[in-house]
This record gives sequence, C-alpha cells and structure tokens, in this order.
Amino acid sequence: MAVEITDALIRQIAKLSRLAVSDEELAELASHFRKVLAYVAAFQRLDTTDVDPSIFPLDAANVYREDEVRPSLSAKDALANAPETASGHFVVPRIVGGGSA
Amino acid sequence: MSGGDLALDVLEIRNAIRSRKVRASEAVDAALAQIRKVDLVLHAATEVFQEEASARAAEIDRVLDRGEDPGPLAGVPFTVKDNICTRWGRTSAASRILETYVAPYDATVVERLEKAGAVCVAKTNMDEFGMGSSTENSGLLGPTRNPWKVTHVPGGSSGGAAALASATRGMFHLGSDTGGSIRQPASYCGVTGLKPSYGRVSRYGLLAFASSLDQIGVLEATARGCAMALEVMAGWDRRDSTSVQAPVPAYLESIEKVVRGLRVGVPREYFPEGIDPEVKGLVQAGIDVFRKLHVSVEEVSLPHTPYANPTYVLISAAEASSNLARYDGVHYGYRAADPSDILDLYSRSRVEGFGPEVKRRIMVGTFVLSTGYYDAFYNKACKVRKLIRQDFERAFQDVDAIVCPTSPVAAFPVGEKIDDPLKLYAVDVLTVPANLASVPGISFPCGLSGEGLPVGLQIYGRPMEDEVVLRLAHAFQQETDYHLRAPPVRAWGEE
Repeated sequence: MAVEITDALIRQIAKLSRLAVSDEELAELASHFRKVLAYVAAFQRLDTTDVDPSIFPLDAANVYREDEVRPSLSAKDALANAPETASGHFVVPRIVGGGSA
Repeated sequence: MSGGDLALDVLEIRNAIRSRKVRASEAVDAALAQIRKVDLVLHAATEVFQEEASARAAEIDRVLDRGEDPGPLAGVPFTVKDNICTRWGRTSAASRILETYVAPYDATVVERLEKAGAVCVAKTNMDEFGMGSSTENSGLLGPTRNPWKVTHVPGGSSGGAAALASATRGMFHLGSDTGGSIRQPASYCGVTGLKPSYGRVSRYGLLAFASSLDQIGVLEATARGCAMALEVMAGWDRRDSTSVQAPVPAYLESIEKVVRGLRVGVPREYFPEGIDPEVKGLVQAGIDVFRKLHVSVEEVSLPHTPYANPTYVLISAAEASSNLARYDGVHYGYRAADPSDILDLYSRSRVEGFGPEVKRRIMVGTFVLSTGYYDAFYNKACKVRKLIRQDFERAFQDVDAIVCPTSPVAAFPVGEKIDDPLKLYAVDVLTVPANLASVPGISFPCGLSGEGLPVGLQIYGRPMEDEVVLRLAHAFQQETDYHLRAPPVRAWGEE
C-alpha cells in the first residue's frame, strides 16, 4: 500500500498519540515515516493470502484463575507517585463544566 | 578478600559463600566497590545501593552464622536493569517521564532472587524503555561505554548490565530483551547473555515495551552463571498470565550433560551481504568448536529471515504505542506545568517526558494500528511473523539448536549511528527473530576482532528448551577461554 506522508497525516497521528509535537519535530517525523515505509516495503509484497496472523506468542488462549480476594496496592501506595493528589484522588484539570477550561 | 578473589565468577562466589570461605558481606562489599570503580568511566549504573545492600548482606551472614540456610543464592550480588521494578531506589526505564518513579512493589524475578538470598546492589543504564541498540538513548545518564574500548558503545538496550558484566566479576545482571537487548550487548561486551523462552520467566514488574516480545533474562561472564540465576527466576507466576506452567529444570545440573550427538543448524540467511568479514570468520571458527565436541553441524534455511526486522519494527512499535499510553502525567511520573485542559496535560507531559526515539516509535505504532492502515501494516506484519515462526518450527524438526552470529558487526563508535535510526535498527537483524518466534537465545564470546572488540556467537533453541542452549554454551566455554578474556577497563584480575 502506497501511503503519501503529508503534514496533515503526521499531525493526525501525533494527535492520536497524545504528543504535542512541534513543527520542527513534525518535519523530522515525516522524514522518519518515509524511511520506515520504504524499509517495510519488501515484506508488503510478500504473499500472505492464506496465513493466519500470529498475534499471541503462546498457544494458551485464555488463562483462568479463581476469583479470590487478595491483598493489592493500598490507596496510599497507588497515589504515592502521582504528580498531584487531593483527598485520596488523582488531580486533573477540570474535564466537565466550568466554562472554557 | 584479596584482589585476586574478585576474579571469581558468580557461581564460584555462590559456592564460596555457601562453604563459608567468603562472607556475604565481603562478596557484596566487593561488588559495590567494583561497580563504583568502573562506573567512573563506564556510566553503567543509574543507582548503587551501598547501605541497603550492605545491611542485607550482614543480615544474611547472621542467618548463616546461626547455621541456617538463607537460600541457594545466599549473599550473591546482582544488578537490575532500570526497567525492572525494585522497591529500592527508582525504576525509570531511563526515561525522564519516570525520573522520580519509585515502584511500590518488586518484580517477581527480584522477589524470587531476594527470597533465595541474592542481594540487589545496583540498577543499570539502558536505552529509554528498551528502545535502542547502543545505550545512547538513555534519558537519564550519558551513553554507557564499552569496557573493551571506551570510545565505543556497549550495545543495548541492556548496555549498563553488559558493561558491568564485562568489567566486574562475582555478580550477575538482570536485563530484558525485546529484539536482542540482552544478546546484542552481551556480544559487544564479550559476556554471556541469555534471553529465555517467552513465558519461561515472569514479566510481572517489567515496564512493558512490546508485551508479545519482551522477556527478562540474565547476563554474566559464563553460561553456568546464567543457568544458576535462571533456575531461581524461572517458573509460573499467577501475576503474569503469559508465564508458562511447566516444571523448572535444574539448569545448573543439566548443563553438565554431554553435547555429543546433538544436532545444530547453521542458517545460510544469517550471513548476509553486510556482515563484517571478521565477525563471519570468528563465528565460523566458533562453529568448528562444536564439531570438535562431536555436535553434528548442518546447514538449515530460515527463508523469511530478511523480513524479520521490518516485521519487528512494526509489531514492536504497535505494542509500544499501546503500552506507553499509560504515561499520561496523571498517575505517575512527569507532568507538564500549567496545563490548559486534560488533552494539553497528556500531550505536553508526553512530549516533554519522552525522548525522540520513544516518540518516533509511539507515532509509527499509532499509525500502523489506525483505521485504514491496520490491515496493510500491523496485520500484515503479524502474518509475516507467522511465516517466521513456521521457519523455526520446520528447522527444529531436523536440528536441536541453531547457531549463528549475534550481530553482523562488533561494537561501533559512540555517535556513529545515533542520527540514523534505520541504520541502528539494522544491527538487530540477527536477534529479532528469536523474539518473533518466542524461542530462547543465548550469546557468548567467540573471539576478538583485530581492533580488540569481542564478537558473539548466538544459539537458538526450541521453545522452552533453554536447557539446550545453556548446555551448548557451557560446553563451548569448557573448551575455550574467550569468556575469560579481560577488557582494558575492569575491576577484577589486577595485580
């Protein structure tokens, strides 16, 4: 599949990746994408019509266990590395309501 | 302990502590002193646990003094790659985004090793999140240097572990391997590095890069040192549903079994055009050692080898883009200042916290998983992965193991490839197939180039037959002394 690498495409991928990349980084990334696509071009031509994709490395499909109550991280430990917390919660900027913010 | 004793390999240290010839405190203090000494030049450790490790060793000595058994690895020092969780110190995966992260739990491997009496003495430098082959991509430390030639890279991403394995003695080193990150640096630093079979060792507590490829393993001077550590690390873990429920062999015992009669295959595709002729020559001479050991050597074919690296580049990026979505500036790690809204918080924390290579891979991964491109790229790569796995299945019908070079080149100068990611990806061509096929792989030294740089020989085995690759490597090391050669920068074996 021939893909045209445009600024708009890279910008869209950056948005999906949650990366606020600068214009300078954008140009570097576009050039990197072109190189990667050229690098994978050979296998793109490989015939894989009847091949099942290998997604999981092991044969085990589902692994079940008893649904037991076990000790887990305390709220204190879970919050210990958070950049900002308040009364046992992670703090984030306002998401709903409150006007433009 | 005298300077000469520092030359003991880790199994000898283990035995010396058990027979009370060396105290745990002596072994741990010696390990700490060695690391501090070589680290001035190598920049291999992100943290050294002087007080904690000494205290733990003293505790083990007290248990030994009471005549009790603190476990099979009592007092044995080890280091941990910075992407494996330890309660001691920070676990940053050499990323600015996790610069201050302190894990609230130990990885299963660390827990098992400590329960067996081993003592964690340091964390080691790496390419950020395991993304790199030279340890030049560390977001926290400068590049780690190669003990054989300090102008050169140690390989990566477990470059800190490999450099210390080469420049120190009497301890072992945990690494992780997603596309060669244990074996390639082991090759460049002249040490033994084992990537176990997928599922053999729990990944719980390993900061995920590409979950279908990641595996924790071990580096040390010798194959028997790796066998000793694997014996304790391996086995099913309820906290990692991809760990395999199979009995753990007594590796230390089974590596002593004879190799006579085993059949190994040399894949013709593993000596590609660009291979360094010196590497080729040393690897071929290494293969002759197996002939001498009455191992039958035959040519095999793994026809899809040329497609392995492109497949790896896409699959590992896809999985990374998903795994690294968790670094959002909310739950842990770096947060950008004064976010205007939640999206700005995510996007700026990530762009400021991640290094350039990590961003490139997240972007490529997001792209191949996105609508319109998924089938042509990600799904296609998964199909090619299947063909690569089938190559191995077919080859392993005829041979017990595959022998090949670890990397097409020896260590290269710092700065030589870092500006061209694709050039850097190319040094992994001979190691990524093991991860795509979930097979065990080991690298160990088979000689020095004219420039004085080590060259690695690699052995692949059938899935879950880690014992076979260890046994072949051990037999090779009984016959040769390449693994005993001393690099110019070292803390052991001096007058």
